Amino acid sequence: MTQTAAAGSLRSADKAMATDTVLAPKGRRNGVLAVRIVVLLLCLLWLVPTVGLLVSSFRSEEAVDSSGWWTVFSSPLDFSQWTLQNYSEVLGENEMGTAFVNSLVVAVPATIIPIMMAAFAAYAFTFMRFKGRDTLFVIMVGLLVVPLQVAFVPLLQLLGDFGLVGTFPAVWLAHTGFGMPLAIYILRNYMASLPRSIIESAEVDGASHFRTFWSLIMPMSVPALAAFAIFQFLWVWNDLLVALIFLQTDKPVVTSQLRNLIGELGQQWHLLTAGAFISITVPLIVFFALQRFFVRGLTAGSVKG
Amino acid sequence: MAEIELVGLSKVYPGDVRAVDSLDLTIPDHEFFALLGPSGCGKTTLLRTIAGLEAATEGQVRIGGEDVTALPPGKRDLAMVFQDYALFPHMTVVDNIAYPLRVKGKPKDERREAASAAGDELSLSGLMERRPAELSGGQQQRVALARAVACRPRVFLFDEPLSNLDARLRLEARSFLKKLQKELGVTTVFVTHDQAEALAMADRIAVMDKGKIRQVGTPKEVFQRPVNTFVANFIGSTPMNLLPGVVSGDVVQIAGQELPLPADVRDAVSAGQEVVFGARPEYLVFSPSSVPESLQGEVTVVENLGTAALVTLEAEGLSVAVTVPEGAEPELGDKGWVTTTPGRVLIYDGADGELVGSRVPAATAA
Repeated sequence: MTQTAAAGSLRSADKAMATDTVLAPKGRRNGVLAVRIVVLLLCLLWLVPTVGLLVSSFRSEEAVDSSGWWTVFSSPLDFSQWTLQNYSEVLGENEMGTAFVNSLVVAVPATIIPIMMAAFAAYAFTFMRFKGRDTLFVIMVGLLVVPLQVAFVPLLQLLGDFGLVGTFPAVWLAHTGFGMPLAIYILRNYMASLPRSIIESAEVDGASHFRTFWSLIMPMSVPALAAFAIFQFLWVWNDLLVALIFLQTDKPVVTSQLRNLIGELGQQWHLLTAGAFISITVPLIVFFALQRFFVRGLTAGSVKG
Repeated sequence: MAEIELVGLSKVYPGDVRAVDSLDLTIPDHEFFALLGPSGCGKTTLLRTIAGLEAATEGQVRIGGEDVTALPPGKRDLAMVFQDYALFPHMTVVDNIAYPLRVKGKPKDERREAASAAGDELSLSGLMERRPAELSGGQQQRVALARAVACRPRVFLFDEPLSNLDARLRLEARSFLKKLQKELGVTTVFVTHDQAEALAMADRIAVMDKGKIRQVGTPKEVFQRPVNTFVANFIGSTPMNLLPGVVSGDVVQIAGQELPLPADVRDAVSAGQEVVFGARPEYLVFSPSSVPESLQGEVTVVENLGTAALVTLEAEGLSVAVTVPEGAEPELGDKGWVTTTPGRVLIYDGADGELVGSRVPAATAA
């Protein structure tokens, strides 16, 4: 039934899948088990570097420099080898708090601006009829293949003309531009999967495009918006290159501050482990806050309901 | 409330596909009008053109005497119910019903009042705070209707609103919808591919094929006196027997046998003319023994219809269906004779399929 909510039908799809697993014949159940074991192993394998990082972040500088992190497992209960020194050093660093604030000042607008612009664009690409619409869309999506680096010089010149280089708006605009093709692509595909009759019904009621967009399309596109928001936020948060180029050195973000921490020769890299974990916290919060939309948004439009 | 007038209306898609082909039609005020036809006949396109969701290629749409051809859908003062109901999943029932009023800028109190009145009318009062996903199919359909009712439009447009319901619910919804339309008196255009639905509900029916209207009439007219073989074949739960034959004096020769030619069309046909002999299975009489002026054949299929059976006879490659009352069903392989009921036979021209002779007894002579 196409008329049920996008959310509703997905919920029922989840339910259907759940019952499917329960009622599956024995052969299939074994297959499911095998898949789960493989997935579990892959996850564990994938987690190894992170675990290593976590373990290292609690070890002293000498220990990190002299032995591998896995050696702690020979005597895990020997508490003398654990220390919070790295964390206190990183957090004690004056610049770290500023860097966090700077990162947020960069990441939040650099997530919201492209989402807003892309949502408008995606609506037009999906529901408005105009000449050259499909060609424009293909060009837009084609921009996905343009590598970030080739745009730096012209972008710096352009922003220089407006006196924006080194300011926050410069980074926002840069991230907006680089994020836009993917955002439009994801959102348009999602919107195209919304039942057309809903938009037509609003049209018959006399709703303007603006009202249709805000009262119907935006609320119904929340899964896709959330999915893209996570992508974009993580990308901007973890970005070093764009921030280095477009922001002045007096406004360090977390990534560049961490880089400053470890010293020119990388001699302080035990601090990096703690710093990395501190910087992970924000993306983790964002991810868990939005994760119930995440998978749903990624697969949006790929399966017909 | 208003009359709908279509003048020379055409909708042509790229590639010269004429979905609606220079159509003239007037639907008077208060009428419940059904657009009936097989899929792809242009009935939904016609409805969407009336709504303004499709732009007319040629011709005019007039509602209440006003030319609305160039107006956007929202300015035509109509309400449409879609096949999939088009409910807004993130809004409660009451917000769904009130949405058109919100768009029209009505104050909040008025919206709430109109929505709950419409909700009561469609027995939704206990469900007003629910979301569409928490409703059954029948309830969702009533919400869609309530949304149409709440804004008191001049015209209702229904695009197969019953086709997503299960069979029993559909029967209930049918009589319910008809009653509602009569109470409100709003001019209604109803698209359906189900001839039984159209016959049961509509004041008048237009049968469409390939973008053209093949017949317009009351359900009785369309059922009893289809004006061409297309309509004859389409209307009726069991298709009409359409037997090709040749006129020979007072009889029509069919598959080497002879059936009497109705007296009133004798003047309209000439000897040797190829015709199609049309008779509904319900109007044919089955006899297990030889009778004069009948068609003889062998029973090949017996379908149980509950109170009757539909018996198919084969006669030299021709199939003739006839309904036989309960208890009188023949066995497979039996011989059978079929006679016609006077006044219930229609003769169509063999070349163009149009009805021959216009003086067949009045449709109401049941």
